[in-house]
Amino acid sequence: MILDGVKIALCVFVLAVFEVAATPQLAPFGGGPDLIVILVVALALWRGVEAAAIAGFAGGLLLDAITYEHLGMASLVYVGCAWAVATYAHRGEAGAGMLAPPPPRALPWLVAGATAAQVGSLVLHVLLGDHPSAGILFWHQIAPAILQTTLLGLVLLPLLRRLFRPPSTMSRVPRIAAA
Amino acid sequence: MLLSKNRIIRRRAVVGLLLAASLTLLTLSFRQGSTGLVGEIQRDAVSITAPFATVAHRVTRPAVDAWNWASGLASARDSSEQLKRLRDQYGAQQVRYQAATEEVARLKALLHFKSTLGQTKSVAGQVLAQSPNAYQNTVTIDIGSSAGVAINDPVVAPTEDSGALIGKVSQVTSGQAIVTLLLDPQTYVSAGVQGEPNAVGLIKAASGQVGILSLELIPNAVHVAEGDVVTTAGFQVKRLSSYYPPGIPIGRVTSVSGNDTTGDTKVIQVTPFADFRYITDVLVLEPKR
Repeated sequence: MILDGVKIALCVFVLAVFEVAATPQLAPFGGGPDLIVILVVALALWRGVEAAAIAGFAGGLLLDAITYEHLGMASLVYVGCAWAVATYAHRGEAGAGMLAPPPPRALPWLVAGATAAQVGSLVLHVLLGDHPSAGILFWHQIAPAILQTTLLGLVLLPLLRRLFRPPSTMSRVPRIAAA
Repeated sequence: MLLSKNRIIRRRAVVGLLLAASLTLLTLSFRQGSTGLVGEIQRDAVSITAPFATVAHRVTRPAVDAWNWASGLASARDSSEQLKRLRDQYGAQQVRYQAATEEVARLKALLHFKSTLGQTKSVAGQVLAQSPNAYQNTVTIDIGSSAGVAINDPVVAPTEDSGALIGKVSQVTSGQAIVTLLLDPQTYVSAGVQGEPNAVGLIKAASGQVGILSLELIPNAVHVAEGDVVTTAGFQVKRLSSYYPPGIPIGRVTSVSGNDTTGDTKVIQVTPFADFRYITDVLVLEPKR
């Protein structure tokens, strides 16, 4: 539990720093990859909603603080994203007495999470009084960000899977109390 | 169900608390701006992450250079096969050489620009971090108040042979500063067309286009042509003066169309000299304070 916490904190810090220091210059079409959302989706799938929401909150806070964005904006988006992915990805899992199914596939949920984060961010900015041009935002922020996040997810998700290995199917079998 | 009722309640409580905390911070952030607790948190975060951002920036610099070099090659039209062979053969060495040459060129351009400044002091710095989305147009640089940088100082980036205005300092800590770029919709600079004393207006980010600026409030009667150079106008009215010294290049006029909606002024598009996507070195000017 503590080790998990340390690993999550380290991942949040490293990914947030890389997101502002390294990736913007490698994004030729605008909208750099969203590294925090990759971590949030991975944790939502393999560690549950609490870990994902806390990581999302911390990552968003750090990103907003470093870039002088309004504090809480990215946190709100990532916490919502963590909740949505954790809730819908694990919907319909095994009931008592049944073998638990393997964890859901990560990549489709990453695409869904990245899309949710981009749309959530856009909605927040519009609600808070920004007037972005829809066409520009779609082609220069939303679409490239989702694409680049997905591509980077192909590399990062296996690494995160090693760090936050999901519980094996057998260990997920519920204990049935003897009558 | 696999989850007990208590666990479900705990999950909802955690998510609810975090959402409430985010909303509280957002409200505080809007009420306090860059002062108070929120400002303190942000300044501390910038100070703490700056050394790591420097390392991340340096570690990924070769990858960025290689990317720029490869995309430069890709855009070269002739003999692509030969270029591919060359890239394979001399790739790494060429990237290093190219990167060093480009850095020398950038610094030479800044030095040249510095020599044109006269009495205005300046201090050089490097970009540490860049906002990762299109909603924000800021960069973080590795010099702050300890190097003499202050809020509202103009910032210049190297161009091919000199320097061009990219924005102004909007936040400053002892070792870092946040620069709000000209592409930010809230940034306005008084600017004029070189050689046309009456062509003075305000330059700002053009709405509906990425990376293009718009020079506004230029009367219809004033002659402006494509290719004209736009520079900061600077002004002084009694004790009130512009943050930007006059004569700093901004960009080149790329289109002049009819009237704007008020019917009295032109609509002028300006392509900035600086490439806002790849800013690595900057010069912060210290106008007389």
